[in-house]
Amino acid sequence: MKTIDVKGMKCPMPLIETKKALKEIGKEESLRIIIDNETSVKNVTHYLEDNNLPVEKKQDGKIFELIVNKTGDESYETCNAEAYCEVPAEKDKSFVVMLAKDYLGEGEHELGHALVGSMLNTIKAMEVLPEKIIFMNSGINLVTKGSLFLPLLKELETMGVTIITCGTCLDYYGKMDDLEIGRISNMADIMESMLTVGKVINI
Amino acid sequence: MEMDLLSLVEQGGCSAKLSAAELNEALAELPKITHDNILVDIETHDDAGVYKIRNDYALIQTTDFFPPVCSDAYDYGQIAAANALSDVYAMGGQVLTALNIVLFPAHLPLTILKEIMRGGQDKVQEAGGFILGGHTIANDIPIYGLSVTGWVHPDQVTTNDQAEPGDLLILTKPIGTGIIISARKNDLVSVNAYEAALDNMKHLNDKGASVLNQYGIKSATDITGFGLLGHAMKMADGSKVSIRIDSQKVPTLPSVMELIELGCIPGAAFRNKEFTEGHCHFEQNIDYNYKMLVLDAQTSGGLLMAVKPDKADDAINALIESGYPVSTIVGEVIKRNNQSVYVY
Repeated sequence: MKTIDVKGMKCPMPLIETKKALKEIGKEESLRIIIDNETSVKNVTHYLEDNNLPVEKKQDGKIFELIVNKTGDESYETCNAEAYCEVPAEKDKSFVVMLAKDYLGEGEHELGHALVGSMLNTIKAMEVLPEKIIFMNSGINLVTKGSLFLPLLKELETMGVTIITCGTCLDYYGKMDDLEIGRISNMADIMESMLTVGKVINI
Repeated sequence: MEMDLLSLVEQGGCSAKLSAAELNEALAELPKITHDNILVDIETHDDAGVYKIRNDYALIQTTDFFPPVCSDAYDYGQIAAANALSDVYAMGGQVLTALNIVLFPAHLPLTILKEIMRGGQDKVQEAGGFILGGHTIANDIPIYGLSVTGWVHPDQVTTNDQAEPGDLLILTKPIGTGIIISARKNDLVSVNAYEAALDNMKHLNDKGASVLNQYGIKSATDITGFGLLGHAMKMADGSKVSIRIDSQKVPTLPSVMELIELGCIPGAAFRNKEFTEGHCHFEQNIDYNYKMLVLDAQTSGGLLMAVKPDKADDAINALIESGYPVSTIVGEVIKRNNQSVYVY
């Protein structure tokens, strides 16, 4: 059984986390949600019941535990077939790549750096391209002046991949004026990019 | 100004309004008042009270106030004022005067309060009215709003109890401010989408009221805390008719549908669900996200007007020309049926 701990989160974050977890778990699985905020307990329960997912509720002092079973209840499948089956199937293919450093894996930095190039080359050849590539922290070295991978990224950009870079990071490293490709972005935009696709590949 | 006012409001996204059921219970035992000059009272849950002074002149009185709905103090002042003024417009009137209602924490810098009141002042001025004074009290969280006096010709009062079967329902502003504010509190929304929501809330319904007068529209209400569905329900019950809403036609603010899909559904939407349950029917195959959309609590929302079909196109064109570009037909009024509102 998968467990998510949403203690300390304010409404509606617990619901957002619950929806995300429900998408992740398989049909035969259950989900345990640990909440410490009564309003959210009510709202999450409301949401689950609206979607024909029966909830078992336990309370220990101020901590609530909700257990949802994704198995058994067929009405969830049939009732939501239209709304939930078609769209996610297509959505699941979409993905973004997050490059939060300028090398791949742990070990020799030189190798790690070269592997980034090999990965970008491989992405280029894939059937489904990422919607976006997001560059953060030292990952910004890949999109700023002096990067060996600019031509490769330019190619990906012309193929329709959006390149976005964390503005705070550029600022921190004093490279605000060195960005060579794509656009500058903020955390809200980056979060939205990651939350609205099927998959996030984190490097 | 560095402070984010939203951080002062404890219940993130779960807004401050007392539920309709609790309010009804609290008001239940108060004696009912009647007087020849009272044209609109509390009876039909309308947006404001209307009191006739002369045969060609009636006063509209209303008040509205709430805790911060946005980060910036000047924005907040403008929105709270636009929201309070809106009740006058929903009755088909125009604004005369207003009084500030202020609750403010003693420990916060006064610059914030100045900015809030500057926002209110600017909006009242834009509405052609004057702030004559107000009242201020120290409180844990800031609360701001107005008590507003407006006027209307008694023949042009638009109430929520005169919708007739056959009328078409026009909505003048997009829906989704509750969802966007809630997303903003959790840093889930882009700056552009947030600003679109702010502009939407600041936008006065004054010209919408002019359209009400111009096209002889009898029934209208503004969409606020009870959501599109809750306010449509009040209109249906007040008018003793039923209403059909086409959820797919409801205009939305940018990013709203994506945020609902994420699960960014504020508590107030669930509260509105409880309040409308048993009186409103959702078609069986309606997408859950659209259900939550029509239940989203609005701040300073648009006008919902019941218009005769032969005037609907002209009214929409006039609204679009007056600066409400998404104005569109979202439903129709039908004969009273089992349920108040049917959403499909």
